[in-house]
Amino acid sequence: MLFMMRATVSVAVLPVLTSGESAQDAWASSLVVILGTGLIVLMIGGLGVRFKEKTVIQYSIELLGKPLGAAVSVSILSLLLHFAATDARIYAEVLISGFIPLTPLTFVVGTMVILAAITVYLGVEVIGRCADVLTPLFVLFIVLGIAAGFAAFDSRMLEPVLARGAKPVLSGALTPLGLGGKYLPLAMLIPCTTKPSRALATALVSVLLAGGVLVGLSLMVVGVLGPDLGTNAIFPFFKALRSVRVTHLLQRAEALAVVSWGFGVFIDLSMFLYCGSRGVSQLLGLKDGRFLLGPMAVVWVAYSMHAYEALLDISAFHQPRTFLPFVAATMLVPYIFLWTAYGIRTLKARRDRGRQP
Amino acid sequence: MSADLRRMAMLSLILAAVQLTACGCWDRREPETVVYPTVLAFDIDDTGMYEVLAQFPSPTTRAGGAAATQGGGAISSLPFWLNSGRGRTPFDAFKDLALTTSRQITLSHVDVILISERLARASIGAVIELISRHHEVRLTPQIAVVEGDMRSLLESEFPLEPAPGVGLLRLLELARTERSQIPDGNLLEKLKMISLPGVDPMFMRISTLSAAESQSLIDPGSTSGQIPKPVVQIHGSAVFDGDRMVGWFDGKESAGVNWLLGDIFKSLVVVDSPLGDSVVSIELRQDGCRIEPRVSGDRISIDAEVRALARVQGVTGPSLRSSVLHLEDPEVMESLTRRTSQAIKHDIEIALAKARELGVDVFGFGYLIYRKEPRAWNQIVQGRWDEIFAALEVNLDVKVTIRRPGLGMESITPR
Repeated sequence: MLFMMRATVSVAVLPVLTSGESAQDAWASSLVVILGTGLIVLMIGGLGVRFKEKTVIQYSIELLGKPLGAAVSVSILSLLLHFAATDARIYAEVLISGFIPLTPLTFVVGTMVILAAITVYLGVEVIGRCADVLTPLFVLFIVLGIAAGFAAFDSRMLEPVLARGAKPVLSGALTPLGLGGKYLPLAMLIPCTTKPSRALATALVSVLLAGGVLVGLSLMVVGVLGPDLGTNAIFPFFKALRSVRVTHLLQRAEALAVVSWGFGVFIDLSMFLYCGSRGVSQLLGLKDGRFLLGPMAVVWVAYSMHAYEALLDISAFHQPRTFLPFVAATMLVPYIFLWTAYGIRTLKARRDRGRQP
Repeated sequence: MSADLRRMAMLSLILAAVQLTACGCWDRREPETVVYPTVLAFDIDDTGMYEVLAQFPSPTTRAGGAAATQGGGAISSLPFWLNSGRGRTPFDAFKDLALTTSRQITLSHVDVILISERLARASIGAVIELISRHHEVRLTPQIAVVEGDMRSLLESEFPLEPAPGVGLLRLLELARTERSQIPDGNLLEKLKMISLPGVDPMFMRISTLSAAESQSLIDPGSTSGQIPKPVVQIHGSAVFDGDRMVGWFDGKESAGVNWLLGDIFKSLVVVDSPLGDSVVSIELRQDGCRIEPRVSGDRISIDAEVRALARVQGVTGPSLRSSVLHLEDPEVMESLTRRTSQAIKHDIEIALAKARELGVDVFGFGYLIYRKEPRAWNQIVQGRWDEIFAALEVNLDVKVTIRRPGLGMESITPR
């Protein structure tokens, strides 16, 4: 699930290429992103495995007390809502931009959210089983998509290699690092896993695999479209496959991108909605959060529609200068509080143990 | 409600939701209400108004022959339809087509994009804007610049083909592999070249022949019943400086460029025979190409090595007796190889001279330096590539291997 959620970002907008100045060095930005995302996963999952039976909502209140813990929880839940709404909106935008321009945005977003809400209603295991079924197809379509792209691949487009120094490479890695916040569901899922102690290692493996997808897509898109067209593309993977004719018979490979992206978005939305509803119910002290799904879905659709006026706003918001402060405020700062509180508590416990005769 | 019933209800809801996502009923289009142009041609008039010509395969005509004719030679139904629109921008002109077309125009099957010489010389920027932004246009079509009247070209009868659009596409693809006197016509490649530093694009050059007007399918008149003649010739290139055309390259000059780009599939040279007053036709294939930039202090030069495989395709002289060529003779072979190398070198040199004259680097030497020697690009070139290219030293080395004499060693000798 985590792999699909993370890799879907790469399929969607390939931010290593579109958000910075990495251009032909986008593949190097992808490597930086793998390292950085690994650290983010350690930050989220590291705390999670220390509270194997609890979600981030529960241990936030335990560590920080009711008022501050609730504030941290609201911050994390709002980020989950934001990621989910943005993913739904971006997928709806690609469908409307590329295929069904007359269909209302509300209808497309609403349909996706309804499907996700039904899946969440059936339980987290259903989401996991869906991911089990869809992951091989997701991987297959991405691999086929990358392979199709290599029909028009030109390695010269990747040169000069790293000639502009580290700054452009890092600039391309900033927004995707912010999107590392998509690993937040890990903090909600650890108690649901059969082996919570292995959750962190599994999440790190998913970072590596999703990073591999990111590197492969970066190479393919730049090799096909060139650095300039690739950077200017709103949906680079989609555009690259639209520009490729493998043979007279094999054309229109962009279907592979759209279908695999659709699978990823389905798992992504279901997971975010599940984590959101579970988090809200824990925060409010409710036993069953399923009756929250309807209202949450409505809020979600409304947020997805109104958070961005136009497609260009999504792109503008995901520029490092706006996106990084947003993620820092909603995820990094809360986790600094949590880790600090956890550190203080651990030190106190050690000191108390040391004082015991 | 029992658990089974609840499960069924849930399943029905899921299926309904999935179907809703699939239908996209606002965008529903029935096949009989849509038409797909295969050729789009862009022109501009003296007042700056754009014209778009779109050629649609006719969905109501059976595929198979050229024009279906009735007894007196009058056309009953053409296999295609040509319509035009005008507007202040290419998109405006394209939308103008909707006012006179009974079906919804969908651009997802455009195979060929034509640009008039007048528009190419003005700027193709507006057309590129339309192509790169429109959600239906793919970047896979062939693109070419037309020398001559585009309308008569698109209305004329293409021998062997049911419609000019089909004929053009086949001709564009075939001409490149058969003679390699034209550049790659892929639209995506052109867009990339325009956006890259140190390289200028070349577009395929299509010349409308005089038969295009006389063989009009719209007014068959005088030519009905006659054997149709070719209506276009694809030869050479339209050379661009960025988005503006600055001149033509002929077939030999274009082949010269293709040798250095490693883009020769099949080429042909005719050289004087080492013996007597005959000439030898030699078919060539590219066997490789290595271009290396050399930077020494502030001086930049290019070393180019071109390799070709040759095949003797005929010796032509006043008589068979005077055309006999002893290919087993090492001296003859050495001489033939040298002459062939010189012919290739000559093509490259005239291309280089013409490119310098027009001030365009169609070989991509600048891009090569940008890729391989980025420091030199930043420190020496500093935006003066046009100036440096004009005096750039290019060291050519052409290596030819005559590998096959065809299916015979010597010509048939009358005794």
